[in-house]
Amino acid sequence: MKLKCVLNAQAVEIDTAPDRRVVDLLREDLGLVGTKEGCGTGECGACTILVNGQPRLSCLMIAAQLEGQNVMTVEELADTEDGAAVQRAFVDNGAVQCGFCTPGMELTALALVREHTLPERTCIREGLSGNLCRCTGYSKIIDAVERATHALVKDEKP
Amino acid sequence: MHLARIEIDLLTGQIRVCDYLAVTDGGAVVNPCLFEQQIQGGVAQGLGYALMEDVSRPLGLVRSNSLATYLVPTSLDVPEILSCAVPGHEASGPFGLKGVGEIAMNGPLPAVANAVADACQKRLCHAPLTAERMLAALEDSHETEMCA
Repeated sequence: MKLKCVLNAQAVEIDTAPDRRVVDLLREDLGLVGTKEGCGTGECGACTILVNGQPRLSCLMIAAQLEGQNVMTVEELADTEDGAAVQRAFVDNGAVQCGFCTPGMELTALALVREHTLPERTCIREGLSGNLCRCTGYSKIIDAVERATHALVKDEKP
Repeated sequence: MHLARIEIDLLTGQIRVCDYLAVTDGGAVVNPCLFEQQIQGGVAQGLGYALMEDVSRPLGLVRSNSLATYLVPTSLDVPEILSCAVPGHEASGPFGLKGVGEIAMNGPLPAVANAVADACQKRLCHAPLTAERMLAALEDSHETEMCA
């Protein structure tokens, strides 16, 4: 099928099988290898992408579901103001260890900071609970999201 | 030195770790942020082994063969972990350094098991300390060790 969607702020038309898994479409066909495949069964959240701003598991989606949608992968993160703030906060707060959960974690965090201004730590925990991290113990990731929200609020003030 | 503050649900036997303190002799610390994170990560893994990670293999068949059946801690299962370093100098290591890769994993199971014993005088000696095991121990009226 000819798939039309907006991928990382660019209108694209992709020739693909409609039942192609989105994670394979992104990684193997389009070379966007920032999105990671962890479990492949929707348990770990490593393959999270944003579809119309909502975190979605690309291992559980098929290409046809992207028709007409706005898709964001970790590759676009640095090009958006709030995405860059999340990325910077992850680096500054030591929220990355092996890095495998990081793309999914950052995109989920971005959706969270767009939805909530200055969320409580318990709210951040709940928001990130679909993304598994085996290395960091989550504390530094929650610190990073907290700092990112503070940085964004500060930026908004004149 | 590891210290866990826990809550036990008397109805279900579920153990929840509310707060956690880890004090580690890690030799000379080069990067305090990454040191803290390494310990926090180890504690989170250790809490997984202490509370939920159970390799079920009846008749040699691994039943817990996916993340749906072999549960690892999520951000909701891990408490706020305070990680402190004891300033030290390891004589046998270069520049007083030593590795802290795995050391943090040793603490959580005994810390949680001791907290359980302190809270309800029950010693659980089989890991993980699942709700089922905790409930069975709570329903056993003897104050004996459940180690048989």
